Amino acid sequence: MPDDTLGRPFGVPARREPVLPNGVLGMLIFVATEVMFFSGLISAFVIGKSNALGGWPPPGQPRLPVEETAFNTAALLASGVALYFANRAFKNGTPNTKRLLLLSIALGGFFVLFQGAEWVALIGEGLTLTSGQLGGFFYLLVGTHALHVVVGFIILLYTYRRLSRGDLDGFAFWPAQIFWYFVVGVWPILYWQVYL
Amino acid sequence: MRLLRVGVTVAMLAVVWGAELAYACPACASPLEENRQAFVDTTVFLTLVPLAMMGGFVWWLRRQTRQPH
Repeated sequence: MPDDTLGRPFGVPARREPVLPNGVLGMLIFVATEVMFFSGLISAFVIGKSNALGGWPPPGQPRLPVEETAFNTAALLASGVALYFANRAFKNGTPNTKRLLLLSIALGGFFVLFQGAEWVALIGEGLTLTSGQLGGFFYLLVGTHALHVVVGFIILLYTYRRLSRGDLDGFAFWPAQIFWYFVVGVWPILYWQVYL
Repeated sequence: MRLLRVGVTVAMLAVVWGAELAYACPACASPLEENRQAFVDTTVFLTLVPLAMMGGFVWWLRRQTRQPH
């Protein structure tokens, strides 16, 4: 059989490498839908806020803990940074990966617990889902994000388990990272819009 | 077929006229300037975000496929 210039027999198609692993592509599509979902929520909040006749935040409502949440925001951002360095260590094959991934998980867990404590305090002050526009939007936006943090936290725990067993590969680690970077990246926007 | 075309045209015109009468969007009829501005801003934002995501992905894909292995 005659060969082409690359030495392949004619009629046999060259094997094509995918530009992206399936897991990464799937996660990117999912995160794109999540971006639109959060964009819709933020847009509704911006319009609702601008429509408030008595100013924003509405008078007579509890004050949101701006400074404490700024600290919590820093913890979540640090978690994203730790995950970035965990990935670098994973690529280089250094033993730091486990420690950095654990740090990222711990900071994510701290964020969830801190936010839980914040919610308990706010509910105690009378800010509930039905107490007014502020409470409704606050629990909808921040609660939806918190749900995503919890899911991301579970994914990172699963990743850590696989890393500990020695069967973690890049194809499983990248989608987990994409989701966590999304969760970390969307939070400062929510903080800026809801708290400041 | 002709009946269908006429029906679709009438339905489309009814939607256009109906929308003007209904004032379905509360922001469109709001007297607050800040509210109208927020409506415009979020419309622009929600239009650009998916375009930027898809455009960015296509640009990245083009770059990847053009790179020699």
